Order: sequence, then structure tokens, then C-alpha cells
Amino acid sequence: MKLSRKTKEALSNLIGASRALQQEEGISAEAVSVDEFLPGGVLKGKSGQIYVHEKLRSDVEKNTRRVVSLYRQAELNAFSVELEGRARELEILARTGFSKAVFLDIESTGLFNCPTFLIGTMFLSGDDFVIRQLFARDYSEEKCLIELLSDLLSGFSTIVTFNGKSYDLPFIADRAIYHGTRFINRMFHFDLLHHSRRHWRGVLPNCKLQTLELHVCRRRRVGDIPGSEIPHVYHSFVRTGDPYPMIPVFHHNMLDLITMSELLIELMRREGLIKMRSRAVEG
Amino acid sequence: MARTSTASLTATLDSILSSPDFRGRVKYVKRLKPRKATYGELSPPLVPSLSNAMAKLGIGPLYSHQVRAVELARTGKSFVVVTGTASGKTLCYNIPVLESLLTRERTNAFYVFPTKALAQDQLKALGRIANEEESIARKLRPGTYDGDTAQQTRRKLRETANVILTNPDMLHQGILPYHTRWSRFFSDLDYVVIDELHAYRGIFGSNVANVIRRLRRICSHYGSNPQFILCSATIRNPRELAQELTGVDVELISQDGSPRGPKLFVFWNPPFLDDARMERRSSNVEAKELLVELITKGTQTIAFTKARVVAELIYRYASDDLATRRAGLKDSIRPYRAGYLPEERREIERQLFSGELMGVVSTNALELGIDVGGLDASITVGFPGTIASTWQQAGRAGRGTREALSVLVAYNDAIDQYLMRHPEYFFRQSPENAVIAPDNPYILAGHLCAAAFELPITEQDVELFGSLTEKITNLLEEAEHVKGIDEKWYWSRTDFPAASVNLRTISDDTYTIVDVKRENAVIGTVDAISAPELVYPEAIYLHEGETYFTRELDMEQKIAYVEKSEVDYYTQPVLDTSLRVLRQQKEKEWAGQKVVLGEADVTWATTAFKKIRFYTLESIGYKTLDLPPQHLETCSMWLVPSASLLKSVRAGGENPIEGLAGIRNMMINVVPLFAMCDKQDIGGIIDSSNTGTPAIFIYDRFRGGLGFAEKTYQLIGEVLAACLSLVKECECQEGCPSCVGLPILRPAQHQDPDVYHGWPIPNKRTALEMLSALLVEASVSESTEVRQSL
Repeated sequence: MKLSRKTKEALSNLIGASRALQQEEGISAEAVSVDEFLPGGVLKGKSGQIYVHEKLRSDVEKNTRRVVSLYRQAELNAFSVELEGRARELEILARTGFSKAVFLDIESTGLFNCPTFLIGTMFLSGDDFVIRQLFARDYSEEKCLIELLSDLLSGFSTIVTFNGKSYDLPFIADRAIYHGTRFINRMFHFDLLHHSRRHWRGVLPNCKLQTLELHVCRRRRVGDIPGSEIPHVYHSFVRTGDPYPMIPVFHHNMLDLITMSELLIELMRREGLIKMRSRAVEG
Repeated sequence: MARTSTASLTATLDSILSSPDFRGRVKYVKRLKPRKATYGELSPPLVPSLSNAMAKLGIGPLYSHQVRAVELARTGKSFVVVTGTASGKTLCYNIPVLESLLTRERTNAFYVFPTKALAQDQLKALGRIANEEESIARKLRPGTYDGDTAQQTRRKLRETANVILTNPDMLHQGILPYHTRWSRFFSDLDYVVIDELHAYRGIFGSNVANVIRRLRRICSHYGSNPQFILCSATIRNPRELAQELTGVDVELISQDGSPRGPKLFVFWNPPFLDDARMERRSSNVEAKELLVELITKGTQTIAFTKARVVAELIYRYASDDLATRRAGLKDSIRPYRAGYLPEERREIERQLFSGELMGVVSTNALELGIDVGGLDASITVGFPGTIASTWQQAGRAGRGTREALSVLVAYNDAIDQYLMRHPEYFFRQSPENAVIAPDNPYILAGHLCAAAFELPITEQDVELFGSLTEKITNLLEEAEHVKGIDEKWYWSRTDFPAASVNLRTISDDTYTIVDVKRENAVIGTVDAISAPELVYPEAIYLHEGETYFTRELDMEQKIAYVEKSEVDYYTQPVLDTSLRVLRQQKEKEWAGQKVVLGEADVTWATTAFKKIRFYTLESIGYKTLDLPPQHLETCSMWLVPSASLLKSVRAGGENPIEGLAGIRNMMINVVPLFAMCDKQDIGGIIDSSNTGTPAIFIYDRFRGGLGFAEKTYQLIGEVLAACLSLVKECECQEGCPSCVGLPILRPAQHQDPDVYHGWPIPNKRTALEMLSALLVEASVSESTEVRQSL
């Protein structure tokens, strides 16, 4: 971080400051706001409010019906298999039931010690999945974001993440400490990354989510926003209020969640919890 | 190798003094009388496990100042202990902390040291106490947390430790920004111990003060409010410094209850080489001879030098000399460098303890270092810059109540010579004020960024960070570093602000110096203000004893390109300095003259340079330069002599401007004594354009000011009185670099301070007369005031 020349000049003026420093009035709220592009609503919590954007998986993916039915199949088969070692976790997950599970993926402004702003969740509801994205529209909404996430999670008994054991959950716990709010997580945590490594380490070039997405789920993303740009986009959004650049971030988050749900299917197929003719999950 | 017995140290000194080789050196001998210990009683007494542990280690009974420290700690007050070397200052914090650990359910403490080595030493000390008592060992979980700590250990310490020993840099970049991982520790943080307080002055101190402000707001966030325990060497204003550094009220403990053996303190001045009385014999050579003499007579001695190059020289010549004196003595002396590994330090300690090693030569680094215990004698080669440091070095001589000897060998430098003539100045109460300026906007801005990263900035932070907080936060928001939402300002960038704040510099304005012959390897850095004076094109830059020719100075990229070259000359820049007053802050009258404090824009350019041959000092060339001028907005004070004073000087046929120039030169030498800065930290010019009449300006050579000009403003009478003594008593005829001549400014880093340069020297008598007139006037007005108030 360098102080720009302008800042330096300003600082110079400051120490000899005889003229009052005029602060520019903040940019007034954009006429177009978040909900024009990402329909949803404001959700109030103890510490304030956040924005929630919701959609159905079936609005986005044609194969949703099929995916749901495969999950139901796995739930039934779970009682007739006996898996060993790490795979036992899959068995437990399926036996508990997918209505009790929530997929989770966070977007943040960095690796650690900085705010998170978008927490994407996806869960089974009837014969569809609900994708509910909790969004802090600025830094001051983060505390409420975490509290409302807590509330949401209390309705489930399993969390499914990709690398959440090392990243997402510790991150949230850390931010909870920062805000002085409680976040106790005693849910059963199924981390897709660990299981993916068991099957595909050494087979695929790496076990990144998008690599697995391409080779295992046979899906390809086009024009997705690079992860490294996400923090900048958010900071920019907070400053300017222009929601347009945020759309790809929500989209990216949603794609991650969807891929996670398909990855899980493939894992279950490999362990015999699902019987499918082919690997591709077609609608 | 038998060491000197108590009585014979005096005999050794007598024989040295009476030796014809050393005739005339000793200017002054102060006999410091032994002092008996003053003890105290704690009521209520310490818990048994703690007093048992101390008894087993042979510690105790407690000295009066240690008792006072525990008493104050028990009341929850913050305090600073200012007692001598080896007075048991560490117990002043270890006892309260250990007592807390034994009596409270949860209590945590930070111990902050300026160096990692000190932290390691203190960790050992804590371990020694814990080893003696099971109950202490069970409760005490200490650890050093710094750059050397392994990752797994770091996690363990964060989660379980209750005493963390660290340093300001680690706090700044490695702990505070990650405070969520330290929530357990901060929630019950009861003590912050700051040792070697006097080290936190100038830029470093100003930055550390801000680190502490950040620490306190984080404590607040987790619900704790620790008390501060500080230890300092003797300076004039320990309480003021402690309060400015911590932001809390601090009590002072200065009565030293520890015992002292008798000490001889000797002021040693090398003799003049010639009758013109301009040059003296080399102080380094004198020091070496003294060192060799003492060691040969069985006196364990430590020598301190100001530069590494000098330490190496003295070590080499001394060990060669010793070899010729007696077989086996050659290896009885070792150099000590900062950066030794712990094992190497232990080895030296061991050898000193056993007597295998009779001498150590070191730079000042050692004064912040290892537990060598006491030696018999210390030699300080050249005044180290502060009286506080000199005492710390002298404090290394003396075991318990045995006799000790400390020698100060003077350089042919204005202040050294002044001290030789005025030893009482050294021995009475210290004039040295440690000065910091935590609200300097350039320093503050970086820390506000770091603070925003840690927790959003709020209104409450104005109390901590001062009145400029709001303005700077607004600027940061304009620059898109922070975003204000509902009266809280959040860090709104992806980068990590603490990484761009260097605690030892004032801004990211440094030039790198690269060696073109070695693929632009970086060989040094210099601050942006000094760069145009040190590495202008064709300048000879001295680095580690080698001469480098400056090929190019890129002021855009802030890089100086140099290459090693064998030359027999060095260069001296010619500076064209001008000053424009921006704002007046305070004004007063002193001795009928106007004295002002304010802000100024100093402009200077290196317009030319001279080439001067080494040793002969003849001028062999001059070349003009065309470099863009530099601007510096800073704090300045100015003294405006009255029209009547100027008139009376002219009436006597003298040029008042020369008198002012001489006074200005002396002030640059003298102010560092009062404000604990270096000569290169301040600048001065004579200028008429601002006030319409000639005035002396003294300013801080740091953007935003660091408090030195301000201190000069406050103490103008004392500063000028010291200048008068300086010029009156200088033995030169017409003026010399030791009094009214231009002081040696910014010598290249490792240059032998014995060499000095020739400059036109202002008229000594004029300066003398003006100062006398001023000071007479000053005492008259003081007595007028006194009379009026009676």
C-alpha cells in the first residue's frame, strides 16, 4: 500500500493546514440497487440486516429433478450398504438424510483476517433445491450475516462443503470472534475435498473444484470471474454501490454450490449408494 | 589467568596514570562512592511459593525500589522504574506478574523488548524461577513469540501461553493484525511490560507509541485494560516519555535501593599532536593501548565503540599487541557483534566467567544484550551520543560491591571535547530528553490504516490517536483505503497495511543503493531526505570501509547506482537550502529576543560538490550539479535577534551574520544533548526572507517533525547557555570544527570519526560576544521576573 502522491500532497497540506479540509459528500445511493439484478429481500437480524438472494436450482439447472431423485435413491440404499474407512462418512450422510443437509460456500475479501460478505447455501426442499445466498451489502452487515447464518444452520444437522474444514468454517468462526458473536458449530461436517482426494488424487492434475467439475461432472464454465478478482469487486461495490459487477460473484458462488451437489452424487455412485448407468447426470 | 583483586584496581590505574606513555590524558577522575543497599518490606508479603523460589535462587531481600514496584502493581497502577544497571529492574515486573499468576485464575502478560536476544534472556530468567517451585512451574506458561518462532509453536502459544515475550515489530505485524486468534490472550491481558523504554525515542518511539495505541484498542474490544510496567535507563524525562508512549498515567520510581561498589570514572582525552592544537592523537589507538595495558595487568575489560569498523580495528590491533606482550594473551580478547547466535553468546559469557576471556570489544549493540555479568573495567571509545548510553556501558564494569573502573575516551569532536571540559555536566542530573511525536501525520497515517484493518475506526479512536485522526481518516477514505459506514471506517482494500509500515522509518520514502558491478545487488538504503546529499551523481559513497562511485541517481525510481572504485578522495556536497515559514504555532520572548515555534517548508538542493583528498584534506576539485530541489515540510523553531543586538554587534565592527552562523553550528552540536537525537536529525539555516531580519532556524529533518525543534524551543535558554560554554572554553584561536565550525554532518556510515573536513569557519569572537550578550540579558530578565513575583 503506497500513499498516493495526491494523499501525500494532502498530508503535506494538512500539517501546514490553515484551510479547512473539505470532505466530498458521499455518492448518493445508486438508482439501481442490488435487487434489480439479484431479486430477493432484506432479512433482519439481531445486529442489523443483510440482503438475501434466493432462487431454485431448477430455475438454473435442467437436471435438478434427476439429481433430487438420485439423492432419494442414495438415502434408501444407505441402509443396505456397509462402507469402510473414510467412506463411512458418506453412509452417515445418506442415512441422516439429505433434507437435513446444507451445502455451504463462502466468498470473502481474502484468505484470512478480513471480512466475508457472501455466504452461499443450498438445501433440499421438497423436490427441488433452494439456493439461498446471504449477502452483506457493506462491512457493517457482516456481523448480522454471521448471526443469520447461524440461525439458518440450526435447522440442519449436516454441513457439506468443499475444503470447508480448512477454510470456510474456521473463517466464519474467526469472524464471529471478531464481532463478538457466538458461532458454535457442532454439526456433522462432510468435506467433499477430502473424499475427492481419495478418488482422484494422482488421477487428475489436481483436486481443485473446477478441475473436478470439468472432468468428473463434465461441466465447463465459461467466462466465470477469476477468484482473485472477487475481493476487489466487492470493495468496489461497497464504495460505489454499483451492483452490476457483483452479479458474476453471485453466479460464481452459485456454480460452486451446484457443482458440489453433483460431485457428491459421483462420490456416492462410486461407493455404491447410487446405481447409474453412466457417469453423466443428464436431465 | 588471575583476575585483579579488589584493592589492586586502584593500583593498576595509578600505574597507568603515572606511566610516561599516558601522561596528560586524564582530564578528570570521579570517585563514585559505594552505596549500601536499601531494603523494603512488602505488606502483605509475597506468597510463600514465590518467596521460596527467590530464596532458593539467592534473590532477596528486596530493594526499596522493587518493593515500591510491587506495591504500585498491586494497586493496579502503571509505573516506570528508572534505576541503574544491575539494580534488579526485571524483578520489578517479574514479581507482580508471577504473583498474579499464583493468585488469580487467569492472567496474561506481554513482555516487550527491543530485541529478540533480550527476550530470550528474559525467558531464561523466568524459567530459572519456575524451576525452583512446582506451583510456579505449573501455572507459568511462557514463550517467546517472534520471527524465529516455529508455526506449530505459535499456535500453541496463542492458545495456551500466559506470558508472551515479544518485540514491537512482531506486535505490529504478527500479533495485532491477527487478534482474533489471540482473543483468549487479550481477554485476560493484565500486564504489558516494556523494557528499555529509552530505546523508544525518535522515529522508532513514535511508531511504537502508535502500535501501543492499537494494542489498547484491541484490549478494549476484548474487555481488558492492562497496566503498564516500564523500565528505563536514566533520562531526564522518563515519566513524560512513558506517558506519551503508552497514553496512560504513569507513576515514577527513581530511588535506587540497590548497592554499588566503589567506582572510578575516568575522562581520558588524547593529547594534541601539534602546537596549533587542532589535531589530537587517534582516540582509537589510545583506547587500544589502554585496553592492552589493563588486560596485561589482569583486569577483565570491555570496550565499546561507535562503529563496527572501529571495533574490528581495535580488536585486531589489541590482540596483535597482546601477542607481543605475553604468550597466551593473544586469544584472551574477542570481538562481539550483534547477530551472534545464542550458542556463541553463551560461549563468550562462559569464557568471561571462567576468566579464559579477559577482554571483549563491541559496538553499542552489547549494551542491549547478553548477561555478561560484571567485568572489572569498561572503556567507552567516543561519546556514544547519549549520557544514558554511556552510563549503561559503564554499568558493565563492576561485580557486586567490588571496585570497578570506567573510562570515557574522547574523540576530537565538539561534544566529546565539551564533556572533557565539563565533566560535571555529565555527572549531574541528565539533560537528555527522549522525544517522540506519535501524532506526526505521516507516521499516524500508516498506523490508522493498520488500525482500520484490525477493527473499524470509530469516534472513540480520536482519544487514542489524537486530533488529526478525523482529518487523516477522511483523506484515507478519499484515497479509497477505508470506507465509512455509519460512523465506522472499515479497511476496504485487499492488501495488508501493516506490511507497508516500517517502525524505523517515517514513510516508504527510501532509496535503494545498488552495485552495478554485482548485477544491481542492493548494498544499502538511505532515506529520501539524505539521498541527494549522500548519493548524488559522482558522489563517493562509503560502505563497509569501501569506496563506491555513484554512477547515477534515479530520483523517480528512488535508486542510486554505484560501483566499487579505488579512489583516494571523498566528496562533500554543497547544499543550497532555503526555508519558507508556513505557520506559526507558538511565540515567546527570551532575553529580549523573539523565539518562535511553527511549521516550515524547507527546500534544498545539492548544487555542487567538492572533491577532497583523504588524510591531506586538500581540495582537488569542484563540480556543479543540476538536481531537482527537495521539499520537506516539518517543524521548525526560530530565534530572531532584536534590532538592538544586531546594531551593537555591527557597532563593534563585527558581522552579526557570522556570529549567527557560529551559533547555528553550535546549536546543531548541542541540541542532540537535550533532545536525544543525532546531529543529522536536525538542520539549521540563517535566513532573513521570512522575518525580514536575520534569524536562526533549527528544524527537524523529518516530514511532519519529530519533536526536536519543539524541545529546542522549550529549552532555548539551556541550549544557548551550553553553546556559550562550548565556544568560551574551546582552546582554538579563531574557531574550529569543535566549536563554531560546521559540525561533521552525516559522515558516511562507517567512516573513521577521527577524520574531519575543512570548511570556512565563522568568526568565533562574534559568536561569543552575541551569546554572552544574550545570556546576560536572559539572567537579567529572569531576575526581573523573580523580583516582580516577590
